[in-house]
Amino acid sequence: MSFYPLQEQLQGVLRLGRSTSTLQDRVAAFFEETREDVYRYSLTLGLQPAQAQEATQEVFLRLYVTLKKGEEIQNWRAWVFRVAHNHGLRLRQRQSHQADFDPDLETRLRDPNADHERSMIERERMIRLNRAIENLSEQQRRCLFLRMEGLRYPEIGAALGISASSVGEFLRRAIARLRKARNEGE
Amino acid sequence: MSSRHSSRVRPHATEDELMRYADGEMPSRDAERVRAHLEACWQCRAELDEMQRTVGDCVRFRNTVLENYSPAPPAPWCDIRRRFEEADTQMSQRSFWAAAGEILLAPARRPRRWATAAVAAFAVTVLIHQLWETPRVEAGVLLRKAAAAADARRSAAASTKAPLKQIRIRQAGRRLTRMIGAPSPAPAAAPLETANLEASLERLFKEARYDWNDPLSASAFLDWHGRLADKRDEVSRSGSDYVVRATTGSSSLVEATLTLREADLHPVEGTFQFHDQEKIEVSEIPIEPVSAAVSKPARPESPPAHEPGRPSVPGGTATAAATPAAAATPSDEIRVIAALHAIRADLGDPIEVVRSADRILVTGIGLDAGRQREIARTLETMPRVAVQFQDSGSAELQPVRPAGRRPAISQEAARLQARIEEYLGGRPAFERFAERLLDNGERMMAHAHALRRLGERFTPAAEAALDAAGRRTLDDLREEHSGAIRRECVLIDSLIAPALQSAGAKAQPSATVPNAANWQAWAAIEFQSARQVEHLLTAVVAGASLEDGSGDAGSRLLTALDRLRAVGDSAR
Repeated sequence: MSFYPLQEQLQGVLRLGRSTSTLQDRVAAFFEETREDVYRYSLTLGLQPAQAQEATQEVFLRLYVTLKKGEEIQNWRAWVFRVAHNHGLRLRQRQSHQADFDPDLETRLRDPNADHERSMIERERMIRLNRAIENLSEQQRRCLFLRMEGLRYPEIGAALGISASSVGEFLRRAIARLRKARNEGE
Repeated sequence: MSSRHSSRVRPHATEDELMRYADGEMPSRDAERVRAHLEACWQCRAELDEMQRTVGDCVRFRNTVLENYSPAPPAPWCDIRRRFEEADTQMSQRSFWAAAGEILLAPARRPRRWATAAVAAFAVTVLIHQLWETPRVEAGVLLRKAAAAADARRSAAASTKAPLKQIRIRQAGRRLTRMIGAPSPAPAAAPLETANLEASLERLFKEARYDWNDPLSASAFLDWHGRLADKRDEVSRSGSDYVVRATTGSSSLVEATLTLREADLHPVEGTFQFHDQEKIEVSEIPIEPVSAAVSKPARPESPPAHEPGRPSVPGGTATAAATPAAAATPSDEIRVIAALHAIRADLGDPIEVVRSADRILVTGIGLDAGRQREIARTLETMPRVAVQFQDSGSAELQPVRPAGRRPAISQEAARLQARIEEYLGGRPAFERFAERLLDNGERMMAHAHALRRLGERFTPAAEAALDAAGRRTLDDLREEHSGAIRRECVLIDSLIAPALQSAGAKAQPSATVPNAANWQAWAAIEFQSARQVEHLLTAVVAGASLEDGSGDAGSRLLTALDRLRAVGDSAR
């Protein structure tokens, strides 16, 4: 082995350094634009806020490491939600109790001082919707929340370990129930 | 309903089709079909609008309620770039080690050139070694501590064996559950699919010389790790837990991770990446009485529970010897029914679900091997569930499917059919029309039977005994069935009403819909109404004689369809 390969190796490391910072920039920018969405999704899994925040940060770190290792990820958003879902479920399993998704949400919704702009009618509608969402089955809720985040049926199915057609069925049922709740209130 | 041209009436789009169409999840040909139908059909367009309004509510909910009312993150967001840098440092240490290895080997080949560089290189190597060694020491230290903690727990329990625990193993969508610390089950007690999966995983682990008896243990990990000629270690945190990762090129198990709980270094999760295999995930789950379909220790005389074609002895299903049997609850029962419904096994398959004191027994008769495996796989991880299959030679279970479709045709029916044929444009069109309607009728009755069984099985008292999740599942199921009955009723009506009206049939004002005290009573009424529709439908399109001999089956069918719709509306 001659000395030169080491030089080439050093140049390779420098090149790697430059391309790494570009990847860091991209993932960091993606983190800033998406972290709140992932954090809120983690809350819907029943994680406490601190756990949800740490889990969110962990997910983006994993994204960076995975990309750094050369793995191709076509849809970053679907990937982070899938990983956030699985990671969140693992964390939730280890909780001594399962927290309901934000039991105080309705209380905050009812507080007229919290949001003057929103009319009472709209608040009541959202309260009804919140209750109807709470009464959905777990799978219906998961499919609904992931669909709200823009994931397609196969992506939701990959996150939940079910088929795309099952996703469609769960969403259909969820929407039917929410619609019923909506119509009952009008 | 107004009459239409004799060309086939396009049926309404189902809710499922509308949902997929709106979400862009349909193949383009189907989407085009739905789009064309929506152009022509106000009813379906109105239905789609309603659906879209609900979707709009959900979007508003996400954008306003979840955004504005969810608790804010309790701490400032971390500097994610710093974490990236730390990850880079860890990964680049491995690259430098590989480069340092090259440097160390070079003097043997060109001693003169490398003499002066050797001293500097040695210093770098020492530094790298110190940095490199640190994570390996930490990994080793952690694992040894975890193994010692496990030993201490065993000593405290005055046992020399691994404590009882239950683990779930997943690979590529398949999964199985094992009880660690209990005697190994007889292989024949497990379903074929589960047994095959377990055998293939055991082979992989044994080839890699990784202890399959307790794969989620620090000692198994240490033992495997210690034998590796080359390895790279990494210790990271997942929340408060430690994650030890080892990668190697000298084993068929190329990467393994073990997640240790911070409080007591108890392993809670592991991943195992074998060469050319899907990743295997192992996690500890709370101990529950395991179903007979999975690794329960079986009595030696128990026959296999799932082998296709072999009759099972009632009560011969294996039961858990290692854990006390908890009572089977109505909530267990509804979950089993929901699981069967997910694979449509409650809609016409010859399956019975019976709850006894300690288990839910699911029996199937005359099912083919593929269906048996599908059902077994669906139920394998559900607690307190036993599955038995029998050949169709056994008469224990009554098949749910309706009897044959084409009894001898009556004169009245022949006249009606002739007029419908004329309306549709010929016998071939009528045959297709009749097949279609009978399929709809069969689907409707499958749901009506399932709904009635739910009502009979979950009386108000039994329903009150369900937990909240069980009640939601029950509500979902009965809504699903009721919705399906209505959909099929609407479809049948849209198909047959124009043809019958062209033949002079007319719906009569139906008697007042009775009032029912609860959904269970409605389910029985809905079943009776659906059965009446199906009976009359068979009379009209298949020429069956009506029991009471009275004529004008066409008008009676239209009346029965109206009544079924009214019953469904009243039941909601």
